[in-house]
Amino acid sequence: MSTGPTEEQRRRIRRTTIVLALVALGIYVAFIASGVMKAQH
Amino acid sequence: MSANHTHSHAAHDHDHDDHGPAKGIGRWLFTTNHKDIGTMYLVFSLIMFLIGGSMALVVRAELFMPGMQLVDPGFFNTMTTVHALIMVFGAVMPATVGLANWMIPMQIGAPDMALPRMNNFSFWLLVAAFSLLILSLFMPGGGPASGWTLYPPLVLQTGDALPLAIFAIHLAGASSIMGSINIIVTIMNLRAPGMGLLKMPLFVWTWLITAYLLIAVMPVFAGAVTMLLTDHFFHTTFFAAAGGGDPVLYQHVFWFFGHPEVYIMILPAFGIVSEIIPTFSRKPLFGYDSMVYATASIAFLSFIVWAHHMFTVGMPLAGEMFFMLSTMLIAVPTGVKVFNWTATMWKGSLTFEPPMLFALAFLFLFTIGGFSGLMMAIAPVDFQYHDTYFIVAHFHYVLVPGAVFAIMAGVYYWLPKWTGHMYDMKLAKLHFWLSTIFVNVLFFPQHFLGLAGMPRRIPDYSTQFADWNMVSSIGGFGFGLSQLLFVYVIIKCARGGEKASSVVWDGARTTSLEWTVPSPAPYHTFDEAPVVK
Repeated sequence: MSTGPTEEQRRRIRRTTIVLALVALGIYVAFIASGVMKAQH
Repeated sequence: MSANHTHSHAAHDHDHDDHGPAKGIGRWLFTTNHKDIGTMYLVFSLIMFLIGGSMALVVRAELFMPGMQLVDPGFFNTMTTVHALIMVFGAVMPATVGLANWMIPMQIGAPDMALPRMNNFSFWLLVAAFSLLILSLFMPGGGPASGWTLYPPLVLQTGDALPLAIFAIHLAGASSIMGSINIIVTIMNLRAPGMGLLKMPLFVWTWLITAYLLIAVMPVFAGAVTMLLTDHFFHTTFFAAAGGGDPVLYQHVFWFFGHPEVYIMILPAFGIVSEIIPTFSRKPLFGYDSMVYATASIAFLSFIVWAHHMFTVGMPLAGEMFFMLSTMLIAVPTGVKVFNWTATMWKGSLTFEPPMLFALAFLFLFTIGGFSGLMMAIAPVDFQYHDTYFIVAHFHYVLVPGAVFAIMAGVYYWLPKWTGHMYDMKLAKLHFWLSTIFVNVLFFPQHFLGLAGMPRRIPDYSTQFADWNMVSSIGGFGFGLSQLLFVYVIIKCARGGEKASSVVWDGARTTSLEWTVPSPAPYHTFDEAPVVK
């Protein structure tokens, strides 16, 4: 049977996943916010 | 990648009845195996390629002669729009994701992708997205017809299809982001011991950089279409001048996504070609490190060139100069790549099996697309080319004999590893020659049409454009029909044929880890991580 990732690898995978997902969400919100600011001027 | 690594042979070579694939439809619905998911992505993209291709044939049939023959202008516009959306997001991108799913774990010595359940979810989300997009064709008012750029205010005139199309784009974007996160965490965390970043195969490198690009720009596109949605349904005025908004803002946001998107499609293609040319030249890749740095440079530059798509909206001279020069800069790292591929072949022991033929055609024909891109980078000249068929010719050269040929090269390169059988070489070579001839008959005349002033996205045209349109349409039908041969070769290979060895191509012996496992690759590839020296 294939060996899965170690506990340390799992921790790093979880951490990187969360960081990347937050980056994507942040970019999405930031661009909409830039549209809001542009429309208010 | 280092050509002289050794590794403990970690491939499974015993039966796997205990944890092999599940039986029946459940295997495909619930699989978390990277090979199954890779296969599903590839089959899905092939289906989308045929559907999107059929839409292109509707367009070429209508343009075969001047005058309105077959479809009404609204439907023509829907065909150009949905053809592009399907080919970009449903065919080319999922094909490269399919190749990534199959090959990245095998090339880095990982047992699977780092997030297998998310991998399954990403794929099925894509199926939902494109089901919605295709269903939008049947909504009252017809499908989206504003071009794949979805520029307001035109796109806001779309009927009931608009929310469906936007939801489809959101789902496809979420699928891409999840897929990218998976690829990054897999490469960063599950590489075999000893495989430093600068020992990774070029395909893995190009995909790593592509995945970062995707995470950076897919949310931008999602933001742009969300604002379209609120403008349409909630009376916001992000892109309406009457309410204080600005339609040109949409163009800036769209192309901030749109230009990196071009590299999202072409960087994995560069990676595939960088795997194939050394194998069939029987030499290590020339300038490995410079290939990596060139890929990273192209990715960086892709963020600072977006406004070259919109020179004609009117921008300050300094802006035009900046975007003109930054665009031209991209030719430098791209030139490094073309030089390195050529230098790899120099004094190599070349053979011309189908993957190499497609890779060579890529090298010549992608470069034609690159050069016409440089022509358009020159702002004053672009005023003449803008929105003409010259643009259509340019980006189709980049995407069809560029990205699509590289994907076909990759399929012909790795198909024996996937199926365990060699495919019919004669038919594959016939497929290559027919595709290469017809793709040029299809797209080369479009340069002439564009330079003569024929606008893009029109269902009818002046009689002066008749001859080259007829030639182009003949090429289109020839290219489309040739692809049935591709489908036949794949199906025939999957069903049987001469047994493939583990190395498959004699020149592949030292290139990367996938050639150390048997053909077909076992369902679970590595018992223990191989050691790379």
